[in-house]
Amino acid sequence: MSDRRIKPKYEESSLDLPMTPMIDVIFQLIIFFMCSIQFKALEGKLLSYLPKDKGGCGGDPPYIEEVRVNLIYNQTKPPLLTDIKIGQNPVRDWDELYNKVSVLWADIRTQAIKEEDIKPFKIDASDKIPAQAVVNTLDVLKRAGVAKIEFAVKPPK
Amino acid sequence: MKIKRLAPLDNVGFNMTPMIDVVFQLIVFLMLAVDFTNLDLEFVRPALSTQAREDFPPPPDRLTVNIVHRLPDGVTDCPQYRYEKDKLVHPCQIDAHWKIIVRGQDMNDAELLRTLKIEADLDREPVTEKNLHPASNRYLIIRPDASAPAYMIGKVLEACGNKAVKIWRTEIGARNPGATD
Repeated sequence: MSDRRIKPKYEESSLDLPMTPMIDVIFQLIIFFMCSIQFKALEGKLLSYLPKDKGGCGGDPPYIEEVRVNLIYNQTKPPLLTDIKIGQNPVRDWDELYNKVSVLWADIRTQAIKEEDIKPFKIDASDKIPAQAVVNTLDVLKRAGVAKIEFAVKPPK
Repeated sequence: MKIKRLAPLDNVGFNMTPMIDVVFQLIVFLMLAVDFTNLDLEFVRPALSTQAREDFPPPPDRLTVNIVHRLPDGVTDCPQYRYEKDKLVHPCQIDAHWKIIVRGQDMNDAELLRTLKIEADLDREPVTEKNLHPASNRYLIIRPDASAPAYMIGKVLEACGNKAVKIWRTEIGARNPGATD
């Protein structure tokens, strides 16, 4: 038998994959995610429940037992533009506020006979005070263990 | 010895068209079914608070009131509002730059009160002889930008305390600097 090469019936096929559709799909996905995803800052919350049985009643006269934290606008003190006072007594910074509030709260708890006797601490912020200052105050009061906190609102005109 | 030769293999390249069709089907399905956005949330730089607790899971049907810094039409830059590396450097004191936004809608005081009343009425304690103006069971979270003026928060709280609204379960959005992703 003559030595003859057996010619294959078919050409050997190449197994190359067309990549163009895959790249198109990847671009579609990238554009879709770029348009739809929104990254938002991880957030928490501070519970600041209002008193359930009364509406806004600003303008209450301050009682002796009431502790009012006043946040007063001072534009010479960036970034929070805030002077802090407990009643009329100035407070140097947030740490001092925490120390004083802790002592006051402990005193009030000791003196109160019933839970209902404890007057809430009031946060009275000037109009222009940034929210961060209000949140800092809330932060300090909660850290000190104050259970009753209210926000002072202006009396209706 | 005769060596049996096998017939050469057929073309084994596979057809990409069905795969692309399936992928497009998946894309369309995901685009329609998944809501990556949350219309209630506006972009704010929340205040930092070490006492902020994790907001998960959020109460059902909670209302979100955003207090955002948004420039009016025609204004391209705010001369005051400045952050550096996510830290507040100077707050914006310009009233016209601050908006209260609920569900994507910019609201004035009257609109806010009206909206809160409608929402509060959806879930309210029953009216009784002793309680003619019962409180609402709805939750509400106020998401102020850290430099938003305090009177804006006061406006929202005042509206919540209104006799016709009486939403008392209010929360303030803040970011715990110790929280990690």
